[in-house]
Amino acid sequence: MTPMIDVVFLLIIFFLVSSHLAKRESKLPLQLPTASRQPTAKLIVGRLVINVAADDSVTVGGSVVNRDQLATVLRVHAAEKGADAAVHIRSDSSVDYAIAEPLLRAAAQAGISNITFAVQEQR
Amino acid sequence: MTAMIDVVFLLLVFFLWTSSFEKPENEITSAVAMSGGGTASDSSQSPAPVPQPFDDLIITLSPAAGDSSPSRLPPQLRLNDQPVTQETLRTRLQQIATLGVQPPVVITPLPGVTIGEAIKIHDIAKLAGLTQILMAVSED
Repeated sequence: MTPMIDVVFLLIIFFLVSSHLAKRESKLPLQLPTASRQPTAKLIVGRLVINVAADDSVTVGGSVVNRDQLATVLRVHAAEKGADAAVHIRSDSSVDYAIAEPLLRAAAQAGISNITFAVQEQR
Repeated sequence: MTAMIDVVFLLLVFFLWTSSFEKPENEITSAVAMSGGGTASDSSQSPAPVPQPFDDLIITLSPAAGDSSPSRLPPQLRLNDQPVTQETLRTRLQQIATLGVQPPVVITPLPGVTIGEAIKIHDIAKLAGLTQILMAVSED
């Protein structure tokens, strides 16, 4: 005869924690490039977040991908979302542009034009 | 009939645990310019190109000479093939912006230039008042 309130609290805590963990997963800790004051990152559901870590590894949705997988992922995303397809690139500031260039090219070839970069404000 | 203090402690512990001290993230919109083709941002619209009163402004970033040390030297900048410094670039872009036209700015970082530096130039162009800023990619 567990009181109802305990069950409710348990469910609340479970959903709070799982949503927090899901949000955290897309945000790999990185040293983002700095820029002057820009609009704050909007939480757009359905936006594909691509993380490029300092060791040049490209991560999408928590798993590392190589170039072919990335092209496939982008094409699938573009096919699903159509004109609303958005890609958000979170890349470490020290990553060579030659690593991000194939990424941008694959996105352009997949027909995705809404591309944003994540930056942090300059101190 | 859970005591109120229990609820309060529970919430307190939860928010302490899930809070993280991360720096707030911003975002900048960008578009891609593919060499040998049109810009990706126009691909969904009608193919008739808008006649530009000015040609593209191409800013090339090349890695500074002798750059293999951990302390990176700033890349060499060229505006339409003229070497410039950051300050000169900023002034020139501001002058162009005050003319009232918005030529597309194509930022072309060569291999060896980091994204941080490319974004910095993007930032300079944006602060100068130009809105059409594209990142260049080469065709496969």
